[in-house]
Amino acid sequence: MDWGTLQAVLGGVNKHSTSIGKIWLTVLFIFRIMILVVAAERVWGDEQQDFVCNTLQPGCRNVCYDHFFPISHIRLWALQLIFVSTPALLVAMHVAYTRHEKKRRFRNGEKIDIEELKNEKIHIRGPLWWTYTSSIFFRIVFEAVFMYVFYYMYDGYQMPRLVKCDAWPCPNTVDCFVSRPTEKTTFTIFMLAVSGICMMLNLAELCYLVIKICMKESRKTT
Amino acid sequence: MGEWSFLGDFLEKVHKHSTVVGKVWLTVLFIFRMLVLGTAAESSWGDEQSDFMCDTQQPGCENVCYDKAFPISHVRFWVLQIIFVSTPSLVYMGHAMHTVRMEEKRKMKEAELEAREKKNGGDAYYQQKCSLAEKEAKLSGWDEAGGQIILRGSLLNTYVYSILIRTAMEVAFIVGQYVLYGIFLETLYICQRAPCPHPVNCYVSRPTEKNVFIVFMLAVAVLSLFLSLAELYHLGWKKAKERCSRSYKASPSTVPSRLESAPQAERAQMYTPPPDFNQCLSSPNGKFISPFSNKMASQQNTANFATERVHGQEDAAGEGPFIKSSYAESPEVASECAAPAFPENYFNDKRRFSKASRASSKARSDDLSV
Repeated sequence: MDWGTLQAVLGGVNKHSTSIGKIWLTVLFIFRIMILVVAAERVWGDEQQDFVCNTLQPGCRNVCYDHFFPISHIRLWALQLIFVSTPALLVAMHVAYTRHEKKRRFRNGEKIDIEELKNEKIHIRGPLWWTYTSSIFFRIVFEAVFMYVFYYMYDGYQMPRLVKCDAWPCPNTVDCFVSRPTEKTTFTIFMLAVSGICMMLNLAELCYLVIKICMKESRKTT
Repeated sequence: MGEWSFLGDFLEKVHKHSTVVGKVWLTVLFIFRMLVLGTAAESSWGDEQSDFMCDTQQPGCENVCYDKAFPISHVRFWVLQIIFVSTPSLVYMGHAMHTVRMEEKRKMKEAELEAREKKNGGDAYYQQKCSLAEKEAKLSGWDEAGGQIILRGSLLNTYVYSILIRTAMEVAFIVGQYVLYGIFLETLYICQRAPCPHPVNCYVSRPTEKNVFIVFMLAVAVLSLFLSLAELYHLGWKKAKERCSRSYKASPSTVPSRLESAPQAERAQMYTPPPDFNQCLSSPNGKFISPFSNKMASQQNTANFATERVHGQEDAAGEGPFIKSSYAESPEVASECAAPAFPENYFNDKRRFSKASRASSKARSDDLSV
């Protein structure tokens, strides 16, 4: 899976983030994407090959694996990371639109320094504040939804060693053994913990932005 | 190694702001841990489960025995070790970048203030503000003259804490590895776990090759630990030496000799032996602009370094032999980057003339005439 494209896109967004946003991005890249690519993909690499059932019935193993693992953890985490990163694109689009507007005004004859336009740090206020805040809100929602989906789909966060399966064409209830359950449980809990940390960071960022704007408003009125 | 590029990019930024021992530690991390793990150890452990053979036909017995023998694979354990050991450096890096950004903001405000004061003509007020600002800068750990980050105050504390946490993590993982697996892997593992009907013999794949890598990675971990401890000692010793030299500061006879030796000492510490990991911050292939990239700051620092070298020698009286880590970009890198666009009056040095600058602007009798 090529995460380089995501890295390139999010790197651009990073310039316009708050400090907490930058920390969130670092945590995302190092503790989630990197762990996924370097470690977790190998742990789940042989999940179907080494899923062994106590039966000689052809097809039973396939059906049982499919029944217990509708979507592999790896793919679910990849989807989670993509969904969680996507709201940042809204911010990138808004910033690009603002810059485009300024360039258009410059071309129409207004006096704007072109160098200043390129290097300008865009402050998070006005409509950009709303875009940024809603992107953080959606990030939090997506994180929570995926954490719940994991819990619902796999009945908690622990990988069982033994599962009992009686799907057709298995002739009776067969014992099936999952490959590397302890290691998988370790990584599931690790990824869950990091999701929790990311959610805390997003909540902190949201509070920071709201408090900042409230203070600014109160300063204007006094 | 490409998969490690996420972490690698961040750590290369840390490399610039570290002490000499810190740079050696980072080099050890990159070459002996990340590279070896990514290229050699991964392929050695590649068939660890498929070639884990148990002396039984019972379905599921091999799975459960492998799970009991290796709750977490060595390779994954080392990946987590590298990540947790690198994390404190990132925290220090965040603080360093924060310092740089605060310094930039302060300079911008100063430039604005200069322009405003020039209009109003309040010279005395400006000088007072300037000296106050320099005092602030000294407290924050920023060397006005050299354009460098000096490890002092809160930044030094963060650096020391990061090394302490790194050391603790290193020890924790070494002990953890010993508790989980001991030192060496045995060829034979006897397993008794449901659904295995009785204790079965299980055979580990490639035990000798794995033992070689286990011993190697353990040795590198111990070496990293030793380097961290050496760095702590180095920092502590420097701090104690600085305290002693401050107590002798009053005597004027020692000041000129320290001024002379300080630049040489600075130069010796700035030229670091490990390989140069500097990269242009804006590379043409659209590389990731990390949270810690600060193109403006580094380019300003190159300019600062060039124009204010004289002030550095003059102001060195109060500094003492602190650890200096060079923040300025190397010249060949700066040439690849686009030239920064500064406002017109940015380079006009409006501060009071120092003796040195006054002297340099006049032609001297012993100057060569063309």
